Amino acid sequence: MFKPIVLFFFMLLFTNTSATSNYGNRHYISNKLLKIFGESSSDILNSEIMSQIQIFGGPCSLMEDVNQDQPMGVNCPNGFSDSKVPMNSEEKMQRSKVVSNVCKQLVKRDKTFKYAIRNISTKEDHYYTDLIKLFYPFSDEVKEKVNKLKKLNIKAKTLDDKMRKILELICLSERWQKL
Amino acid sequence: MKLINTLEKMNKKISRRNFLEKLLYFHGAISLHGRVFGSDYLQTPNESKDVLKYVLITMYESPPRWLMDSLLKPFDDNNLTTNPKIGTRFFDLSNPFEPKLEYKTVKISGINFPMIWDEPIPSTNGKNVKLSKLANNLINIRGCNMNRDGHDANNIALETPNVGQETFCGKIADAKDSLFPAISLCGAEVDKDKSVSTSFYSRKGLKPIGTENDDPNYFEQIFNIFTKKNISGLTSLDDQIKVKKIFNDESDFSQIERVQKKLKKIESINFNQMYQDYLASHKKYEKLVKKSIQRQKINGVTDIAVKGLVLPQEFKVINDEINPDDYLGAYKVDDIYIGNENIEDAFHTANMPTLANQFAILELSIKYNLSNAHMVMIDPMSGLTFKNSYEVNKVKWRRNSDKVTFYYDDTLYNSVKGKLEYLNTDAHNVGTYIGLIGWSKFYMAVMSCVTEFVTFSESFDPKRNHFNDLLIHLTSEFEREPKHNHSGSEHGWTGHTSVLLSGKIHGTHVLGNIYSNSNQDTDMFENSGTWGKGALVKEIGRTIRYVDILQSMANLIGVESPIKGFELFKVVNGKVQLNIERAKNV
Repeated sequence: MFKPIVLFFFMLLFTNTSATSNYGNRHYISNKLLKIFGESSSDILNSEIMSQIQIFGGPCSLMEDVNQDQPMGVNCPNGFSDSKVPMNSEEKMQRSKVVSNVCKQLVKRDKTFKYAIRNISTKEDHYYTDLIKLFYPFSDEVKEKVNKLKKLNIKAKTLDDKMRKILELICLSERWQKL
Repeated sequence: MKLINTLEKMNKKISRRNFLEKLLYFHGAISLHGRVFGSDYLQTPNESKDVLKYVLITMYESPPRWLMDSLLKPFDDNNLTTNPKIGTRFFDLSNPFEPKLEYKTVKISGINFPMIWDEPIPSTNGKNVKLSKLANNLINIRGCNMNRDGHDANNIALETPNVGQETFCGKIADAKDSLFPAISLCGAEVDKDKSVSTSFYSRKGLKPIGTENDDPNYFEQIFNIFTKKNISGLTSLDDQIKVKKIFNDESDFSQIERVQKKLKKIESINFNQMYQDYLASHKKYEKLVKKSIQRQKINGVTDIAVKGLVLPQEFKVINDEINPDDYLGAYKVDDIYIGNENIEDAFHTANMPTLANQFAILELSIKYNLSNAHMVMIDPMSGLTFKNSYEVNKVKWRRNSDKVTFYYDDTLYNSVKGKLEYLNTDAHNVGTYIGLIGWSKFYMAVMSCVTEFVTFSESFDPKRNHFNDLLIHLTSEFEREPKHNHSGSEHGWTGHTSVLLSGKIHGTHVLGNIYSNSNQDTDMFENSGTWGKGALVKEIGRTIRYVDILQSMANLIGVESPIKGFELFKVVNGKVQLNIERAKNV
C-alpha cells in the first residue's frame, strides 16, 4: 500500500508541468479599479482598458451590443469581430504596459486617490492592511505582506504621499488581476 | 519459438501491478535524468544561439498553385497528363467556351518552373527583375498529403498537426529569446480564430503579438501600446519589482519579471525612426503590389484581350441535365458571369492592400531584430470591377431537342455592372478566364513582395547578409483539383506544396512524388490529370506528410520539431543533401 504512494510522489516530484495563468478580462479589471478608485476613474478605464478588447479579452455580447457590423461605442469598438475575442486574457506584454500606466494615472489623480483612501485608517499598522485589502480582500497572509512592505522603508513627506506610493506599488503588483 | 518462451516467462514474472510499478519508476528515472543532465525532456528548452529566423507566408484558403510554385513537371522525364483547365498561359481560344490552356515552363538550373518565373516582375528601382533569382536558394516540396480536408484544420496544421501542444513557431520562440516571441500578421479578411496563429503554443507561455483588428495601419495596430509614453510612477522600478515578488508566487513572478525586462528593452527602441522606416517600406510595397496587379503585362495571359460573355448563346446539349456552368463556366466568378468587355480591365481597380502592411512589418522585424518567428496570412485580392456582368441566378435556358440557348432573364437590365469585393482564393467558383488572369496577378503581387523582401534582407546591412539567417516558407493549406467543367476547382488536400527560401540553401531542389493521373477514392473527379496529388515515396514508405516538412524545417532552423517526422533533406554548409529520391510523377 505504501509503495504506490511513494511512487506517486516520486513521479510528481520529477514531473514538470506548466500552465499559463488566466488574467481577468477588461470587465473584471475595469470593475475592480472602478470600485477602488470611484466614478472619476471611468474616463481612464474606458479609454485605456475597456476599449482594448483585443488585449484584455472579454467579448461584447452578440445579442446586446452588435446589431450590425459597425463600431458600437466603448463596449464593442470594432463591431462584430469583438464578439469573437477570448473570454479571458493571458500574459501579454501589452497588458502589463497598459495596466501599469493606468495604475500610475489613477494614483496620481487627486480625485481618484482620495476616493480610494476614503476609508483607510491613518494608523500605521492599519493602513498597510487596509490598502492591501482594497486589492486583495480575501488574502489570508496580509500580516506577512505588511511586514514585507514595511521593510521596503517607503519614505514620503506626508502620510498621503506615503499612501499614494504604497497604493501604486500594490496596484502594480499584478496578482490581483488573475482569476 | 525462443522469443515466445521468453515472453511467457516474463509474463509470469511481471504481474500487471508490477508492470505499472516499473513504468512509474521508469518515468521518474527519465524525469530525474532530464533534471540532472539538462535533457529537454519535461523541461523548458535551453536557449540556442544558432536559430534561423522563420517567416511563414501562407496564402489563406488555397488558390491554385500550379501556375506558380507547384511544379508539375520539374524534370523532362516526368510524365505530365494534361488537363485543359491547368496551365500557365492561354493557348487556344478559338472556342471561347472551351478555352485551352498550356502548361508552359521555363528551365531554371535544369528544373522546369511555370512560365511566370521567367516573367519580369516589378521592383523598387523601376527595373524589372525575374523571379528566377529566388530559385537560386530554393527547396520545393510537393505532393504532401495533408490527410484531411478543410481550410481551417489545415491552416492551423501549418503550425502543428497536434493542436494544444507546442507548435513550430512556439518552439522557435522558446529556443531563442527575442523582443517579441512571434509576430502574427493576419490579413483583414482572414478569420483569426481559424488560422495558423491561433494554434501558437510555447512551453514558456509566450504569446505572439500581431494584428488584432481591422486598422489598416499595421504599425499602429501592433506597436501603438508600446509607443505610448510611459507614465512616470511615484515609486522606483526596483521597489515595484520587489512588491511583485511579495504578491506573486515564484513561477508567476519569474514570468512577470521576464515581461518587465522585455518592456524595459522595448522602451529603448526608437519607435519614431521605426515608424519612418515602416512608412517608407509600406509605400515601396504598395507601389509594387499595385503595379503587379493593375499594370504589369504577363506573356500569354494579360497581353491578349480576352473578351467576356455575350448572351444569348446557343450550344449543343452535352448532358441531359442542363448545368449552365458546363457551358459558360469559363466566364464564372462567384455569382456572376463576366459580360462583354476585356476581362483584364476588371483588375484595373483591384488591389491587395494588406500585403504592403505585412511586408513592411517583416522588414522592420528583420532590421530591428524584433522576432524570430513570423506568421503571415495573405488576404485575397479585392476591388475588382466589371462594366458588364450577368448574375448567375438570372441566366435561364431554353432547350430545343439537342440545342440549348442561354439567355439573360432580367426585364430591367440586359446586363448589370458588377463589383467583386474579393477574388475568392477558395476558388470553387473562379472560372478559367478570371482564374488564370487573376491568380497570375495575385502571384505576381505576392512574389514581387517576396523578392523585394529577400533583396532587402540581403542588402540592408552592409556587414551581414541577413537572408542567410532567414527561412521563408511559402505555402497554403493544399493544392486544388480542377472541376470537370471550367467553372473552378475543388480542394486538393491530398497534395500540398511548401516552398522554402533561404540563403542557407544553395541551389534549386524539388522533392516529392505526385500522380501523373490518379483515379482513387480521394480524387474529386476522374482523369483530372497531373495536378499535384501526392504519391508514394519509397524511402518513407508512404506519401510525404506535413510532419516531414516540419521536421526538415526544424532541423534547418536549428530547433526541435514539435512532432517527429521523416527528415526529407539535410543542409550541410549550404549544400542540400536529399534523403529521398528525385521528384517523380508516377
